[in-house]
Amino acid sequence: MIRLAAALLGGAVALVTAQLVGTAIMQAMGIPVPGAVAGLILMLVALAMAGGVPEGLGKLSDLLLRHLNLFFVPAGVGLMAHLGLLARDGGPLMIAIVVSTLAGLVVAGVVFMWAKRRTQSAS
Amino acid sequence: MSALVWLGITIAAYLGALAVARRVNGHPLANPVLVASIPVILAMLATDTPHEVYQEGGVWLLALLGPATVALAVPLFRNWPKVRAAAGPLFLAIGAGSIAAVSTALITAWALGAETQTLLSLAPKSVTTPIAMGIAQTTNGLPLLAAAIVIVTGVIGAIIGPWLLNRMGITDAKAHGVALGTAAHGIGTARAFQEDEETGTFSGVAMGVNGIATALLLPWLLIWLFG
Repeated sequence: MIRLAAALLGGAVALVTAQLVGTAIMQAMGIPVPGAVAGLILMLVALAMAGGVPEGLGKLSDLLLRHLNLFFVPAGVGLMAHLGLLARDGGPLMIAIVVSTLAGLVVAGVVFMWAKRRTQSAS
Repeated sequence: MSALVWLGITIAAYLGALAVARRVNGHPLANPVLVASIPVILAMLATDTPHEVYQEGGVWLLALLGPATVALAVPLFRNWPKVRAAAGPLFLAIGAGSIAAVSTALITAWALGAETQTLLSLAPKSVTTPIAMGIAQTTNGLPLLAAAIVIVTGVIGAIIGPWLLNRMGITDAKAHGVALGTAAHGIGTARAFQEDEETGTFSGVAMGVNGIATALLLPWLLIWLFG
C-alpha cells in the first residue's frame, strides 16, 4: 500500500518535472509549443532510454488518461459563461465549426486508410 | 473554501456524467464534458456565483491537463512499434486532415461574411486550447474566442467522429484515433481512450503532431493571408 503510494508519487513528480523542463526549454528557445507537449516528447525519450515504464508512472498515467474528460469540464463551464463571445458572428461561426470539424475528421480518416492500403500493397 | 466546494461539485458532476455515459453504453452523445458542465452551470446560476469564483476551483483541474498531456508518452511508448509501422500514413493523414480543417473553416466563415478577427480566432480550432490561444494572441485574434471555439470543436468532433467514420465504412481503430486527434484535440483523444488504448494512442500522437505543426506553421499562413 505504502509502496504503491510512493510509486504513484514518483510518477507524479516525473510527469510534472517533464512538463516544467519542457516549458523551460521552449521558453529559452522561443518556440511557441506548450511545455506539456515538449514534456511529452522528453518523457518518451526518457522511457526509451529506461527501456520500460516504471509501475507508478504507468498506473498514474492510465488513471489520468482514463479521466482526461474531467480536466476539460472547467473549460466547458467557462465556455457557457462566455457564450456571448460565440454570438459574435454566431451563425457563420457555428456553421464553419461544424463543417470544418467534419472535413478534418473525414479527410484524416480517409487519407489514413488510403495510405495504409497503399503501403501494404507496396510491401 | 468556495474553491474547494466548486472543485467538489465539478468532480461530482463528472462522476454523474460517467454514470450517465455507462447507462447509455458510452454513446458519444453522452459526452462527459458536455453532460458534466450542465449541473455545474445550474448550480452557479442557482447560487448566483460569478464565473471567476467558480474558476478558483476549476483551475486545479485545468492545471492537471499539463501532466495528463505528458502522460500520453506512456501509451505511446507501449504502442511504439504499431505507431512506427504506421508512421507514413499517420503523418499524411494528420497533414491532410489539419489542412482540410483550417481551410474549410476559413473559407466557410469568410464566405458567410465573418469578420477578420473572428477568422483569426477560428483558424487554430483543431488544436489544444493553450496552442490555439497562443496562436490567436500572436495573430491579433481573440484568445478567449479561440478557446471557446476549440472546446465546441472538441465536443462536436468527439460526438460525431466515431459515428461518421463508421457510417463511411471506416472502422479501423487507428483511423478513428488519427481522425479524432487531428480534428478534435484532447476532447477527441478522451473519446478515443473510451474506445480502447490503441485508438487513444493514435489520437494522442495525432493531437501532439498536429498541435506542434500548427503552432509552428499556422501563424505564418495567417500573417500572409491577413497581414
